[in-house]
Order: sequence, then structure tokens, then C-alpha cells
Amino acid sequence: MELLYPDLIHYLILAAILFIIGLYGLFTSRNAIRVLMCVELLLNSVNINMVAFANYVDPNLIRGDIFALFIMAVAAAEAAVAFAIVLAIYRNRSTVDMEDFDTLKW
Amino acid sequence: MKEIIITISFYILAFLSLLGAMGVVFNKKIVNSGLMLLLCFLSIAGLFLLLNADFVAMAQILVYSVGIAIIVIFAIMLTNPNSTQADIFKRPRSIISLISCFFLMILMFMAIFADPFIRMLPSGLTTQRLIEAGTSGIIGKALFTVYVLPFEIISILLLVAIIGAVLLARRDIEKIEEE
Repeated sequence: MELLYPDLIHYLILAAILFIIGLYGLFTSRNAIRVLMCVELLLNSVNINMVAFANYVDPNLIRGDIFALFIMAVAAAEAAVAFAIVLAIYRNRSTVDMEDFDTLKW
Repeated sequence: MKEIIITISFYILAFLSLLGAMGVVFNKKIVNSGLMLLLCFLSIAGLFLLLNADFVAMAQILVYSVGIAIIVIFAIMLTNPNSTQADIFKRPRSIISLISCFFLMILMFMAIFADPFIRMLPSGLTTQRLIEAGTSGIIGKALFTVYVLPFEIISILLLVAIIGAVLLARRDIEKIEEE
């Protein structure tokens, strides 16, 4: 019971596993929208780390919470621009397959 | 009693967030993986509540579970969701990325278990104060004193990103007039 009680290390392990799942999806998915979803998973796992460290190491100033909020704002901006780019590419090439985005390849 | 509730809810929320993440990566239909992404975001908001971060948990629900989930679902709707092509890359690529992800996970676990911070626990007094007063006061005071410059820059970044997204996503006016 002592060992199971959620401590800093439990949150760190959970965030590491989430990060790895997101990274694997980032490498292997072909759909551009799924790739962007995996980027959001990566940002979320980093946020878990930030908030966990703020709670356990720095509970007076909770600077990790503030950094998590900044990460969220940047993630929202990134998501808006990225999905707009995907829509623009889809309109020009009528596909969202990563294999077909080869305009820069020669 | 309180310890038991915290432990059980941590494991339920951790399981749900991992399930959602696996669903995002491995689901065949892209719409289902969008909904699994929503499940993952909501359970991570619950984990933030367990970590005494009420403000960040509510911001997570507002920004991720509502804002980004809606953007994802609209993007799926506007692109072609019924494509018949395989959604995962060919064999060698997925095996190589599985191996590299496995080694990265081992590396991260080694770093976690070597960390001197993991023995640090919050003193009961400050945690009790966080639970009673909430984190909004501390965060608001910090955002408008120490972090005021990043805060303003973030607001400009959001404005620029929204204008850029509108510019990128709309169709050309000349084309619409031709039709």
C-alpha cells in the first residue's frame, strides 16, 4: 500500500509512458491529423511532469503550474495553425496521407 | 480512507489516460481516435486535480477537451475520413520506431529512478494551504508580476496564430467569385 500510493515517481512514470506512446504514433501514423493528435499527446505528458514537480518540489510558488499554462497556450496556437495548414494542403492535393506530401522531395 | 481514495482514483485515471493514448495511436478509424483523444485529455485533467492544481485542470478542460478536440473533429470532418488506405506505415519503419521508442523509454526510466527529487515529499502544511485556498491566487499574482512579459507575448502569439489560421484555411476570394 505504501508503495502504491501515488508519489512523484508514479506521475513521472505515467508521463514517460504517455510520451512514448505519443512518439510511437508520431513516427508510424500516415494520416496527418493523427500525427497532430500525437503532438498534442506529447505536450500533455510534458504538462503532467510540470504539474507533478510543482506539487511535490515547489508547493509554495507552483511555478510548474504557470509553465503548464504557457505550454497550453502555445499548444492551442500550434493546433490552430497546424490544422489550417493540413486543410490548405488537403484542398490543393485532396489527401492527408503523409506519404503523398512529397513536394519538397527530389 | 483518504489515501485509499486517492490511490484508487490515480490508478483509474492513469489507466484511462493510457487507454485514450493507445486508442489515438492504434484505432483504425480516425474519428474514433479523435474521441479517444478527448478521453485522454479529460483523464489528464483529473490527474491535475489529484496534484492540487485546480486552475490548470480547469484550463485543461477548457483549452484541450473543448477547444482542441473541436478543432480536431472539424479537421477530420473537412478532410476525407473514409480513405481506404492503410493508416500505419510499412513494416520496417514501424519496427524501427518501436525499437527506438523502447530504448528511449528505458533511458527515461533510468533518469527517473536516478533522480534525487523523487524522495522529496511536500510538507503537510503547504499542501493543506494549497487545498484550502486553491492555486488561482498564486498563479494570478505570478502571471501579473514576475511573468507579465511572457504573458503579454503569449497573447500576441495567440492573436497572430488565429489570424494566420483564418488566412490559411479560407478559400481564395477570386476562386469563390469565379464559381
